[in-house]
Amino acid sequence: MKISARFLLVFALVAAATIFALIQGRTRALRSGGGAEGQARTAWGAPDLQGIWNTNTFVPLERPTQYGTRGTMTEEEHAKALADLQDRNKRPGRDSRDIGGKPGQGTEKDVARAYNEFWFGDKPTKLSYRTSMVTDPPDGRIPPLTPEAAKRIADKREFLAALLQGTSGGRPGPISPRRNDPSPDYNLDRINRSDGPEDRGGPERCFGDGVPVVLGTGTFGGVMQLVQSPDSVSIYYDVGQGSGYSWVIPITNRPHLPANVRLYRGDPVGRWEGDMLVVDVTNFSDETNFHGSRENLHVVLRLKRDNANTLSVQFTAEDPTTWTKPWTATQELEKTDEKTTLVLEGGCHEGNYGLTGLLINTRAAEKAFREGKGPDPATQDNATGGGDN
Amino acid sequence: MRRQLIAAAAALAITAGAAPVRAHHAFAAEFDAKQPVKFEKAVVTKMEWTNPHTWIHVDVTMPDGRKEAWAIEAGTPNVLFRRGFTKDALLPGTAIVIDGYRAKDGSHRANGRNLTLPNGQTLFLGSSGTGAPEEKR
Repeated sequence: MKISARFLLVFALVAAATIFALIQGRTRALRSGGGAEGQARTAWGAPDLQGIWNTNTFVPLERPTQYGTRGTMTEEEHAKALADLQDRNKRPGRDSRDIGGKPGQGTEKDVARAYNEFWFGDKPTKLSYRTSMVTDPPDGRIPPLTPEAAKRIADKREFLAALLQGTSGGRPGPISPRRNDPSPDYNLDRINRSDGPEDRGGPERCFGDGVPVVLGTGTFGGVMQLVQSPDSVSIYYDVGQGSGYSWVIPITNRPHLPANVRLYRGDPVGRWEGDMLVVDVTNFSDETNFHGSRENLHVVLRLKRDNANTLSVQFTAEDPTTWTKPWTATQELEKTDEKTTLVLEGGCHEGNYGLTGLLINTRAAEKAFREGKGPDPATQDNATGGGDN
Repeated sequence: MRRQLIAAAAALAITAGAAPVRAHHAFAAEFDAKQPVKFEKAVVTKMEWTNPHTWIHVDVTMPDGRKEAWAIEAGTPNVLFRRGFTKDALLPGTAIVIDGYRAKDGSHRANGRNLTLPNGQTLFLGSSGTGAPEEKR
């Protein structure tokens, strides 16, 4: 077969133009990092969600009931809510607050609040027009608990209240006969007792955050850094006081782990659906606690780049043993960089003198009480204050 | 008026959950609010930049001239860094004024509440009226 020189020339020109157009398009896509059409791609062609992400704009997780099924505020509502937020930020962390309708200054809880106020860091100054992160159900609120879950959670609350009974942070009454009872669940709360590490709260024990992470607002609200490889996506969450962790999501079509394998952060299995990363997470353990859901939690996480500077992080949580129906929430995270938002290593076990300090000092207080040199620790609020309880 | 009240209630409700709740531990189980300590002459000997808290080790000159070694619990490294507080701020030899609450077991450990650097800059947050960073905003 003979190919004419003219045909070859035309072919070469068309091929060159095509390659040029492809390169141009790819460059535009990489530069724009935008949604579908301009979606940035990794070197191996996957949607590029990489970067450091956080949020400086406050959106409440659940919608205040006044907004009904409205997902956004009016201008007037927004102006008022923003002014209120700014007023609230001006208030000191203590002194102005009451506890149970009485001035709380000087109580153990008040001191704990003041002490912990520092850790809260920067307060949010920007307020979204969105009335809630929860988008489904339509009222923007986490669905009601099942009767079984309501009882389970109420039982735990009663146990916590019993151990606070008679203290400045609890209801009136004598030291509860339940003082030495075991916790009704795998404990992650601050029990007003320090007989062993398991009496203390998850953050005190360096448990680290769970799944899914809902980032708080501002520099102390947390930041996540996402990096990708062809077969996995890794998200590092820098949150709290060493509560951060690195979460590796395999991109795979393997089934979930056998049901008898239970993990604090579950078993994540990731896949790409177009430009969206979908992560299905099951196999949680009884150490998991996401808004009352424990080992039966099922989370579907969806991450998508809305544009160059916005990462949409949506999760659907379901657990028929906890909620009457599934619910979905969305956070919109902003692109930031290492200069403005330093990402620091989490993990607090090595430096956690606090946990031993809590136990040692409670023993010291008990000894002092036995020797008639101090109050009975059981009559003091050694649990609340500062946000976790 | 009623409309204003509803708007105010709605505004309050939407900001009510604004404060992040990631506090670390119960203060009272470890430290004694009735045993405040203040060291006018403390010299840094070592900083431990660890999570969940940094620890400032200091040599304190007591009123009778004796020296005592104390360890002061301070903020988490990421909060300190995000407030512009770097590793160079508390090098060994830095003279600081520090106050806080002593541990219940009587050891030379305390929870730091306010720290004043040689240039007069005050760090950490105490109760209202301390001039701490939060209150200056």
